Amino acid sequence: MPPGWQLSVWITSLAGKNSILDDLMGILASNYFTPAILTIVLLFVWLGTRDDEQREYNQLTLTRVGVGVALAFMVVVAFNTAQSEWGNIWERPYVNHPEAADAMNLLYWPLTDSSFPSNAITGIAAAATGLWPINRRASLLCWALVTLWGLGRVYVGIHYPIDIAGGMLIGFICCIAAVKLIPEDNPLSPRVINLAKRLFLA
Amino acid sequence: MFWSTFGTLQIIASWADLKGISFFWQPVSGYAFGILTTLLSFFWFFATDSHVAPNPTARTGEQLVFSALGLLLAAAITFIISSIVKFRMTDDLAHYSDEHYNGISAFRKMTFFQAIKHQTRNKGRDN
Repeated sequence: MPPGWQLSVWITSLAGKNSILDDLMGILASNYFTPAILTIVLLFVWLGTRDDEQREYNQLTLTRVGVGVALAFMVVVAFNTAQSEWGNIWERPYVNHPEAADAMNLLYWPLTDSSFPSNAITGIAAAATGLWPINRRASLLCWALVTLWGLGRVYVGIHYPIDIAGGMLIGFICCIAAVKLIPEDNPLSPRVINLAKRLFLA
Repeated sequence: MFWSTFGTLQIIASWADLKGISFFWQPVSGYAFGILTTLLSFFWFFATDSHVAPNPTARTGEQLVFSALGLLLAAAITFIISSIVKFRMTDDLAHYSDEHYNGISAFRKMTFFQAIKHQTRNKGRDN
């Protein structure tokens, strides 16, 4: 069992007791709510600035953040591949605990890949981290959403809290690494922005 | 993703003064339309159980691709509708220098179709 499994069982045992909470957690845990909100936030950061210089800075920074998100997904793929080769570090909560199985059957569906780290949380955490130098309020909003998304996924019995925390940490580190290692004046980011400008997307 | 982006683009158009991609002449109408469309898209999606996975084996990669397609489609349709609605927006584009056609900044002064027209004309001139 992973560390903190007792917390996972306690959270997931709340499922089925209150239909409003169940509906809310079902929406939060879904693969659509948080990514859709994050897309809206990113769209605002990408386009929604009156100052052209500020917009260009945002877009140049976001190209480096994009590398961080890609890096985070590569780490996730590496984890998943290793676990499918050598066996999972631990099974998903709904395999180990009947409370989680009930919650998953009620609110979600079985997932076939490894539990650690949470794939979705990793990518979104990387993007939320990348927003920090551009717009701190947007970054905090996204981090709050990532946390709620993680809570929802524990509630419906598909992740342990450590899967969520691991995903957040990997996303955070990958994004920081990309933003720190890729220089601000790298030659590729302006090219990407210029191409997007030609298509009227930047 | 399509409808939420479609609505969000109208809010952005009003906020960033991108008149060329707004469907409305007054920013307040753009805000109202954008907020309503975005909220309704969320309400419709989650109230109708559409968020219950239609395909449980769908992967993150597939979802990313479909989200990106929805986003691009929303942008394309926004460009087309605003170009039609505001075809009279600018009658003499010759007054504007190249920097006015630089990316989405062009939409402060002209619609998408007008911006394309000028980009093509300028390329012809350069050649």
